[in-house]
Amino acid sequence: MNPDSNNFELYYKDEIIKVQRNSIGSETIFRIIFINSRAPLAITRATHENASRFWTSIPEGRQREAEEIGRLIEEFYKKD
Amino acid sequence: MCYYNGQKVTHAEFIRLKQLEKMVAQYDFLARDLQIGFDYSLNAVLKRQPDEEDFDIVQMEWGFIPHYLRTRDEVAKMRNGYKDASGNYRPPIITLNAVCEEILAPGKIYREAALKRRCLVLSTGFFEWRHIYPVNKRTGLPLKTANRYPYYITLKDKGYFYMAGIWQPWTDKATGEYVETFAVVTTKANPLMLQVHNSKKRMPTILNEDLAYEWLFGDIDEKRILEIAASQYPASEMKACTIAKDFREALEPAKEFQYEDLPALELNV
Repeated sequence: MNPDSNNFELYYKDEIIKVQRNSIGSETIFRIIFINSRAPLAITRATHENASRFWTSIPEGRQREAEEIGRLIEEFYKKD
Repeated sequence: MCYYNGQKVTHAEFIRLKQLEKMVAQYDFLARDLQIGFDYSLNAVLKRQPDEEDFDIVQMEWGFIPHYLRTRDEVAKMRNGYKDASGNYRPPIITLNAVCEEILAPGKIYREAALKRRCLVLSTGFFEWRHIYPVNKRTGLPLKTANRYPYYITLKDKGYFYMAGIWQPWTDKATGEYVETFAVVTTKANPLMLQVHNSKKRMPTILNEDLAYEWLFGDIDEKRILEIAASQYPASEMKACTIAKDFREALEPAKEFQYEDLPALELNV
């Protein structure tokens, strides 16, 4: 496992983003910090009504980014 | 059905996500980093507003710091153990949990907090280890070293619940750092938790909504504090599932994982 799997960096659209894994109770939320001026983003995994899992932004409105970055986070954990 | 970010979700999931929104907003307002962790991490806690029947959701550090510790160095020594000036080893003192039978004992570090600073620790579930002693095939006797299996315990039909907590403000005398810390109150294990947490036979004091209200806002005497602290959430309203042994490093720590060699829990409790 990465020595700090709660704070790490990823490449997203040719730029570095900082990822913080946070907990609220035992819910897990990933906070994304962009190097450019884009607003920080919080994403989490949610459950579709058909029981499949998907990434979503918290609050709503940035679903595409949530899905794209969520996939990168999954790959990061699979590599470790 | 409802929609969240264009995705079809159940009512329960919609409410869960909306609650997360509120909490994320609170944390952004607090402008503090959040760290996941199972020891000494920051957790969401409901803290009463002074003299009002209202509360704030704040982050507190899990691991009650007694008032007599002056610096973070002293805190680290307490938590990790150390050798004193004579070279004698002083073992760690763990203050993550406060045993309900002792919270009001005179001279104990928790007494003032139990009387004046009770709080509710917000949780969606918690982790405990079950110990199974394999049998020696030659002698038929149990081995001395247990196999440990982690469980994730939740409440049926409740996305969130409250654990009884007590909190303590603390300031580092060297740096001026101010932090609020807490301990989760524990009680005797109910029939389900007796099987899961079978080494210590304890469980967090989980409060239903009425008891949570009374714990946070009630003008209650010592007898009632102890009664609530010792209350057991019904086993029939809880569920426990096994999870992966490396759950601390997993993307989804609470994801169910089956062990073929593990005897099933007795669920008719």
